Amino acid sequence: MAVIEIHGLRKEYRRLRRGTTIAVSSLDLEVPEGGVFGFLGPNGAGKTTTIRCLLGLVKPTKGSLRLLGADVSKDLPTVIHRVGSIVETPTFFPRFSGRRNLSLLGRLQGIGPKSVTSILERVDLAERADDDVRTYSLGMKQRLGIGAALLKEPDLLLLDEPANGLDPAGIVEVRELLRSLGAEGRTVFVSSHILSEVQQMADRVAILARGACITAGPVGEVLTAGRAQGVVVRLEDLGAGVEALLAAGLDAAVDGDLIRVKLPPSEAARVTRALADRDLYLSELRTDEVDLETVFLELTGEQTS
Amino acid sequence: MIALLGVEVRRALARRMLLTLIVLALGGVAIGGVVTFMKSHPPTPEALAQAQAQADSDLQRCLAGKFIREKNLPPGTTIEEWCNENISAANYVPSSTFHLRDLDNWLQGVSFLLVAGALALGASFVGAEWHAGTITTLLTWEPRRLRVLAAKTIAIAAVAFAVAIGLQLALSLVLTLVAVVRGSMAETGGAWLRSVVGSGLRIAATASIASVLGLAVAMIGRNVSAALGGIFVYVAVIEGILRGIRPKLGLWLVGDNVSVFITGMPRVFSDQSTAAATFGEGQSITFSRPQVRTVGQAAMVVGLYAAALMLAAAWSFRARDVN
Repeated sequence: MAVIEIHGLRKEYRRLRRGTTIAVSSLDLEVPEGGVFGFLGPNGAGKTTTIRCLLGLVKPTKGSLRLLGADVSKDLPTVIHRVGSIVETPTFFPRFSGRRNLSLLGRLQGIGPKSVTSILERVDLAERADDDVRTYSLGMKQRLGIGAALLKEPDLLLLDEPANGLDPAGIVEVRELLRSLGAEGRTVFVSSHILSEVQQMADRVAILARGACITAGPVGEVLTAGRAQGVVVRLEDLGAGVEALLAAGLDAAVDGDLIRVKLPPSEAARVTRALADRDLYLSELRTDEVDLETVFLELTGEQTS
Repeated sequence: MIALLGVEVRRALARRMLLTLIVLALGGVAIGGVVTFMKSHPPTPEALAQAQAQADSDLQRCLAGKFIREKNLPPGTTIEEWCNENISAANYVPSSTFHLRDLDNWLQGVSFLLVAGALALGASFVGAEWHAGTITTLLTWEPRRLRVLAAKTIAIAAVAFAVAIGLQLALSLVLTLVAVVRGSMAETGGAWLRSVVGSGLRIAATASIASVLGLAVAMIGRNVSAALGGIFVYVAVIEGILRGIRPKLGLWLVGDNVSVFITGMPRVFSDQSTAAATFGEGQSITFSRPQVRTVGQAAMVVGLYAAALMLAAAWSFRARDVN
């Protein structure tokens, strides 16, 4: 079952002086239940607008959105108690303590002080829980935002750049937290510009550019889509190595201080055999992987060029 | 809805602006009490006897039509009522004495501050949420916007009413102490008490409506300054111009109706620019028919303004995106 269904979403902002801005042009997206779903795109791609539409904060110009099976335009209140969210920078009453902010929100859903205390501990804010939010650092506010999102014990988390303002240790903590939530069977829908983070924690991704989804699927498939599989070889004599591999009928070429060979990684033994036959011994052999950043830049670059 | 209302009341009570206004108001009450205490001196028995004799004499003259002609009486008022209302022994007691019977006037005198404070409180209650962005967080917990607006409106109206009552009670208590120790408690019977309680309730109700007006305009403008500036420009400038052009328009202006409601005194409105007598030969100007605005009608007009602004705020909040 898809927990998020978006069909033909279009959002235009009409402004008197600046005319019409299209934030999302035509977005179709389905997010399956469970796991972490990375929602990627360059600035202005429409990620935040999409999340705002899902939360009923912004009304779509066209299209339909369903959240946990409920039509967002009509039935959002029936499922909102199962949805935790952060939209951009979490906002709280600056002169209330973190605990008081969460308590007030919790009261709306009948959530008591014990749960608030437990959440504050979970996001590592127990020691500063009774200080005013205005004294919190950006990272602490972000953690409080994550705490607020988790307070409902939600089935679905919509998180817009949750790692904003966090230090490296905080980023790792959030990554582990989101992975554990995904592993518990919850669905974590996370937009982020830190692609390495998304690659490490997401099971599936969608990439947006100019308000439309240009690719979506499991991370592995997105990384390898449209690309020949290959391995990377490193050895002392690159010239002799390429010659040996070509002689063995392999598609190989020198690339800097290594050789790229186009063949499925499961057939890597053909490489070692061809080199060993010529008394050439490799110092490194690994699958030729691209990272999400490369794919992202290629895809969004194609779109924007 | 109850939970949401409870949360909104807590937020309203915790507003720094509310605490600041209360502290300032209590400071003002204390200072006013001390100054009144210092300036007031209780009347001597001789002065009281002299005042009573003078009042009795003037009352007879008034009833004989020496002070006002029957045709000049306010609509629906007899000469006996008018004389008894305007002539009392306390009026003849030396002015250095504080009279608790004037409490009504004191409350009405400070009502402007209470109403202005309530207006600012209502505007800041919602405007600050837009400014800080906390409205977004709230809507991700309660997406039914009309419910959110209703809870905020009820919360701020209730808080403004309660605070206005509390501050008036504080002022009344301080002035009662002054009157007991160094002033006069004359003419403070049941009728006086009913009048004071009526004034207090009307002032609190006006403060409550003012907070709703402030909230509604801030919800439309999504900004505290815009809301307060807009209301000030309308009430002080636009209504002032309209009143100057045609005084009878006061029947429908917020400022005039608030004034009628708070004082509890009906007011006659007519266009003085067209109202005049015949001056010499050939100079005849037609009178405009004077119209009375009663207290009940004034309350309805102010209520209609609040209702219209709330409808506009509800439409705006429901229809517009929250970015």
